[in-house]
Amino acid sequence: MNEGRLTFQKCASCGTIRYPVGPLCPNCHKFETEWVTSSGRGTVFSFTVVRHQTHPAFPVPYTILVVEMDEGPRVVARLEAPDGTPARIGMAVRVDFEDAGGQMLPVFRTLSA
Amino acid sequence: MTFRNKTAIAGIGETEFSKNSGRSTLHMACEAILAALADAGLQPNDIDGIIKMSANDDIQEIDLLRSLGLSNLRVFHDVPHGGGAACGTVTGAARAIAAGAADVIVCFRSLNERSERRFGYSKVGGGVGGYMAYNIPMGFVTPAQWVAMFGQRYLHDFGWTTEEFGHLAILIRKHASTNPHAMMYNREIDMEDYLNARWITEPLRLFDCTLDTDGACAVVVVSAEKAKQLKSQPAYIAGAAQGTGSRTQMMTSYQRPSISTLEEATATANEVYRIAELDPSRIDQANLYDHFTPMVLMTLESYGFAPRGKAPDLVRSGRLGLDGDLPLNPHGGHLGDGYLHGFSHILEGVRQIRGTANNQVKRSVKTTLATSGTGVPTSAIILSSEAY
Repeated sequence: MNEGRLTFQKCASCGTIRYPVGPLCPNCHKFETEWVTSSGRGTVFSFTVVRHQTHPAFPVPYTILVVEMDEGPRVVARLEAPDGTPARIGMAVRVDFEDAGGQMLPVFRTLSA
Repeated sequence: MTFRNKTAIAGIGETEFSKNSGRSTLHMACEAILAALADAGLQPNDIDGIIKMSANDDIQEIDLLRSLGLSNLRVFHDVPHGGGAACGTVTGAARAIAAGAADVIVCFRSLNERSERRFGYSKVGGGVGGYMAYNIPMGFVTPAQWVAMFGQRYLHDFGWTTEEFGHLAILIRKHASTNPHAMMYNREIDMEDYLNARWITEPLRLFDCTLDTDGACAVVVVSAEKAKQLKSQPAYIAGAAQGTGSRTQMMTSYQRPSISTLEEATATANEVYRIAELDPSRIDQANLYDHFTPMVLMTLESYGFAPRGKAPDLVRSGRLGLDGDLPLNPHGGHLGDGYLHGFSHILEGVRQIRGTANNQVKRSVKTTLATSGTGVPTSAIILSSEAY
């Protein structure tokens, strides 16, 4: 992530991509693992607009997406849409990275942004 | 061979539910346990097993033993996965007693969720590990936010609007409004109240969410034979089960094929009906875990009371009211009575079987279903007035 890349674990034996990370493949139970870089493209699977603030670090409102990446895993991150495009299920997005105090975190942008 | 009706809940006890109990969770747990023992006509020294929920629990079993002066436990364990564990404690007790491992097992839940640690608020800092590292840094921090993803997808997949969540919230709050024990006693809401309430995290509004609660509940489980000799009317444990789903994470199992259905609840339903040798049509009354309204709709579907995607029709039908044929959460559930992580639902089932509930339902209750937390590995029990 700090290199600005979204990567997934991939079983070196059966090719199953797994997410979140784990020590072995839940499909074939082999431990040998490769890493693959995501295309960064995906579509919105679900979302929520957070209106009730529960922590000073996260001022509201903000939109959290569950995005189904083209490789299959569903990744959680914020929608960053400066033009105010509201989230909807099925909307195409791409991943980007923002510096959160020395740690790069993924965000999603609409394709036009 | 199963343990169907081999055991029973012989005693129940609870404290008041409030926003500020003014005493420790250990104090309240002991109150509820002593009340449950008194209800059964038993003494603390009769206890030889304790099974409790582990998640978010600040009561160490060892402190409970010392506080109650217990020295002869033969069975003790914790059941994991937050609110999913509630009926799992009773399930464990029923299995252990049916296996002859113990005679009197206490299960309980005690929380100062409002006055001490509020689960609806984020605790950030100190680092997070495992898959939560994928969620917390994004500001994706509360159960309401995690459940909102399920709710959003339910609305999308089946073409409903949030008014359907509202109908459910209104129904359960109506029940709470006539239960003097409920935190929301005398506080009925209507659709205008529901829609005008503030958003918490879309598509969830204030009244879709449970109440942070201080309080404690306890039950005493014994063999069916022993229960017949005790003071109070037994509620036989006809079925008791736990269940899991695929690619599980705590309330964020978004990697599974669909999140508009509850895999764990469906698995648990199949198992609890198998053990009880009943089908959904034989359930007279249901107490379903209602921390957030969308999950109750999906629970109604998992337990076979409505086809997939059709639970809103059932909620609107009137059948879930106190005078209906499947009264739902007559005590007011977690949305109106208080949030004791599934435990208050177990107690309400016992009261409905005995005919002693504040909101005793109109129909006769021979069998009652209680379910536990959703979005996590979960559990359920079916109680019966007769050991059939």
